[in-house]
Amino acid sequence: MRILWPAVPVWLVAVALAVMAFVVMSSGAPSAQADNGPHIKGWGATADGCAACHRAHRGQAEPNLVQDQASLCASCHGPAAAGSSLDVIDGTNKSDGGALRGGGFTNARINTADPSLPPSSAIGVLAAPGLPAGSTHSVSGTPQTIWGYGAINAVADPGKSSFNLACGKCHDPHGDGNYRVLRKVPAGLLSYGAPLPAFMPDMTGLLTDESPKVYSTTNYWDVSYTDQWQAAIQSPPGPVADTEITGRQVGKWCTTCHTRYWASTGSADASSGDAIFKFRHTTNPAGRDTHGRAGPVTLSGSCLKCHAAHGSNATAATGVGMYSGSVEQPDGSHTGNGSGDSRLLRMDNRGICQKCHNK
Amino acid sequence: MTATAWPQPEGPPGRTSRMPGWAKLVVVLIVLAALGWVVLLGTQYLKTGKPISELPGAQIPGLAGQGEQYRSSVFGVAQPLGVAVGRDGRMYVTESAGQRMVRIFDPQGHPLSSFAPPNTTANGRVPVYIAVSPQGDVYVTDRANDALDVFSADGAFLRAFDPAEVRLLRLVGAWHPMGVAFDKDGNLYVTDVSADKHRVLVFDPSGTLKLTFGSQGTDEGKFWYPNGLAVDDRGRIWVADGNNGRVQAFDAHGKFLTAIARGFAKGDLAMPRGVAIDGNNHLFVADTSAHTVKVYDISGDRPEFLRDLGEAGTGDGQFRFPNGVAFSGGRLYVTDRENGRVQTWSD
Ligand code: HEC
Ligand code: HEC
Ligand code: HEC
Ligand code: HEC
Ligand code: HEC
Ligand code: HEC
Repeated sequence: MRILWPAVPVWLVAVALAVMAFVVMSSGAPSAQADNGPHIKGWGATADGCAACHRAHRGQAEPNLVQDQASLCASCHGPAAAGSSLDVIDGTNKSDGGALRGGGFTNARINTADPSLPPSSAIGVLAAPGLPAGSTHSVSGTPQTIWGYGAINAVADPGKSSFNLACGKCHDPHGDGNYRVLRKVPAGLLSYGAPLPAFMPDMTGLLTDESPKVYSTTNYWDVSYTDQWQAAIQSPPGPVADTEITGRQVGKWCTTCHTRYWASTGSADASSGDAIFKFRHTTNPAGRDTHGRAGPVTLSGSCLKCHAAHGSNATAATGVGMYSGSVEQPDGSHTGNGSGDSRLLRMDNRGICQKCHNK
Repeated sequence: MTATAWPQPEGPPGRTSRMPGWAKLVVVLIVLAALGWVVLLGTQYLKTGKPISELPGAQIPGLAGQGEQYRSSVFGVAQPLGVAVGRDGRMYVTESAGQRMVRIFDPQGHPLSSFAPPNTTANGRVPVYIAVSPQGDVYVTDRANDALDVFSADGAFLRAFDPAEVRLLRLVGAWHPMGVAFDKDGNLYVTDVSADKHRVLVFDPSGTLKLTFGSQGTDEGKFWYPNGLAVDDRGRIWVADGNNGRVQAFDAHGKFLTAIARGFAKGDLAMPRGVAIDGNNHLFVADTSAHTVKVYDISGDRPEFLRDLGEAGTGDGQFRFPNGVAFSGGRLYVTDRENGRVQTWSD
């Protein structure tokens, strides 16, 4: 009997062997910090990582921190991704080319024109490099207003002004064991040790860590990923007694800042009594349907169903007869011809509404 | 301002001018505004066009003869990261914001031209580190495309650096080049930050992979986001181990020799990124979050800290997140990322 092996080209065998050799050679033990990077809880008494971000006596920014925070974080999480695989500026995971869930601060990869409608309603991902982010949670260091922070108020009050939004206000760079090292209560809002005001949601017991970490997204509509936004029944923020909080509580987290955006079911028809945030789209209607057409739709992930956390490339039309880009901010700014600001929405114009209602 | 400049018809004695008080105030204000405008224009001019050779630089008084002094800066680069100098003294700088080009400047600091990885748009590329081969070709890593591209000295795209081994590495997702450097023999050194496989790859001048060392971790000899690297006269390889906050030295076979560690003491590092070596056994380390360039004497077996160049700030000789360093022709070049410029220092 003839030997069959020469039928396989020698070069193929060589390549196969070489590939195998490389796989072996290039595999390495996963690093100890593969999860939270340098943001690990409990550094211990011999911690040395502090020096990466803090100078003991020659710090240049509060608190004893190297200059402006976004630049510090971008030293690792910037487009060069020189100290992490997570590039939040271009919204890309540099180790696998995937998109990031938060969108991006300069470019984002949300397919803001995805045509799917209920029952699927997927929101796809753009291939890298994505498109410029027109709307962001701006971390430039300029003082801004946290829209809606404060108790329901019959006197027009758009929120807390002069707040300096920064990466470290939402995230705990030291690591706190929470999902995406998010702080349970944003930094810089309350003075040290002050009790939580009644209008702020109680985050005790909420947010868990995700292990192993998953960063890429394949569908921006799917925010029901695992259980980091933990389900629990908590006393609600605001005056409305609410017994329906059973979904994932992204909404609660966002409303530690935007407190008056928290709206229980039926809030579109019932006045909250607030001068500005009077009628509000529900942000916590676990298991509610959209009144007919689309059938039951869970709003789990509430705020993040409609918004991206960092920045969105969605556009909002301005100009004669166009509405979306002309909606004024809660303090009345950006009126007239409109700013074109898409408010971190995940779809162009108000396409996001159609993802559930399909009117 | 002298009062005689104003017409003085007859007036009460003792008064030099009949202008009412408010009018004088207006004149003074206008003059002040004009002066302010001139000063502003002047600084604008300094920020944009002044060539290196014409700028005296801010000599720090009392330090002459004590090491490198700030000389001047080249502006007009958006968040620059890497810098290298060509054989004819031309400077190449990579940008990580704006157009994300590689910009070429002549030795006097005048912009010559710019180039970018082929078939990319501004937001689809991130040129990071850069090195010039002994032949004068320009090697640029592109973090967005996991590429190491080779250009001519004038910026014409020649080829992607992808010998067979690199193609295979790519296939298994193990090619994420970051820092690049050449030794005097033309061997190419690359830091790689592939997931869980942070390490150094060494290619001979023909492009054959001849050495790989290091793995991801915090122990001696391991790396956590290695960035820039440089090879000294003795063939030792100095690698900025970014997230571990140290610079490690290896012999030509990749054996760990010594390290400069992270800490709060003088000479300790914070977040080292670019490294360069001059002809006198000086190692320069751009310490990004400490906003300085640290200088060490590496003539012995253990590096000895000499001095910090610069401090945090936006003024002459001050840095905001310095990232890349290059040494050539007696000059030290430092990319000053958040200040959008490249500083030059020299003895
Ligand atoms: C020295 C580099 C470095 C710096 C500086 C840095 N990070 Fe990170 N960060 C990492 C690494 C490494 C990871 C782990 C993921 C990875 O492997 O890329 C990470 C992960 C994260 C995560 C995801 C954590 C999780 O639980 O999934 C967040 C959020 C984050 N960083 C925020 C920040 C913020 C905010 C700052 C600025 C205050 C910052 N980082 C500064 C390197 C850095
Ligand atoms: C990845 C960068 C990073 C590292 C590493 C880091 N810090 Fe911080 N640290 C920050 C930032 C950013 C803030 C400011 C947070 C804010 O309030 O916005 C901060 C704030 C602080 C504060 C003020 C109070 C607070 O908790 O917000 C203390 C204290 C502190 N850090 C101590 C440490 C110590 C000790 C270490 C080492 C064990 C360390 N940090 C490591 C980035 C870092
Ligand atoms: C307004 C609060 C907020 C600010 C400000 C903010 N983040 Fe985030 N970040 C989030 C939330 C929420 C997520 C989780 C998003 C999700 O899962 O959809 C996140 C996710 C991340 C991740 C994981 C990757 C991803 O997109 O899921 C990284 C890394 C990160 N943030 C870093 C940063 C850095 C660096 C900055 C500053 C430049 C910053 N963040 C500013 C809220 C914030
Ligand atoms: C630490 C406080 C804080 C948290 C937490 C926070 N925000 Fe904000 N948010 C702000 C501030 C301050 C602004 C105004 C600054 C701006 O527009 O850049 C803002 C603006 C916005 C805007 C308007 C953006 C625009 O383009 O006008 C949206 C939408 C928004 N936030 C949604 C969210 C969502 C969704 C979450 C939860 C993922 C969240 N915010 C969490 C502070 C916060
Ligand atoms: C059903 C989709 C949807 C959900 C869910 C949603 N938003 Fe919005 N949000 C919008 C739209 C649309 C706008 C643009 C302004 C408008 O039309 O009212 C907006 C605007 C905003 C703004 C900018 C200021 C303003 O009012 O224009 C903030 C802040 C904000 N949302 C916060 C939140 C927070 C916090 C949550 C969760 C508690 C949330 N949003 C949930 C659709 C949504
Ligand atoms: C994630 C799915 C979802 C999205 C996206 C969404 N909605 Fe809704 N909407 C609902 C649900 C569920 C209800 C019923 C809430 C309740 O029980 O009060 C609702 C109720 C309403 C109501 C009140 C109807 C009534 O009869 O009381 C209006 C008006 C409305 N939505 C408008 C919008 C607009 C405008 C948008 C886009 C900005 C939008 N919705 C986006 C799910 C969604």
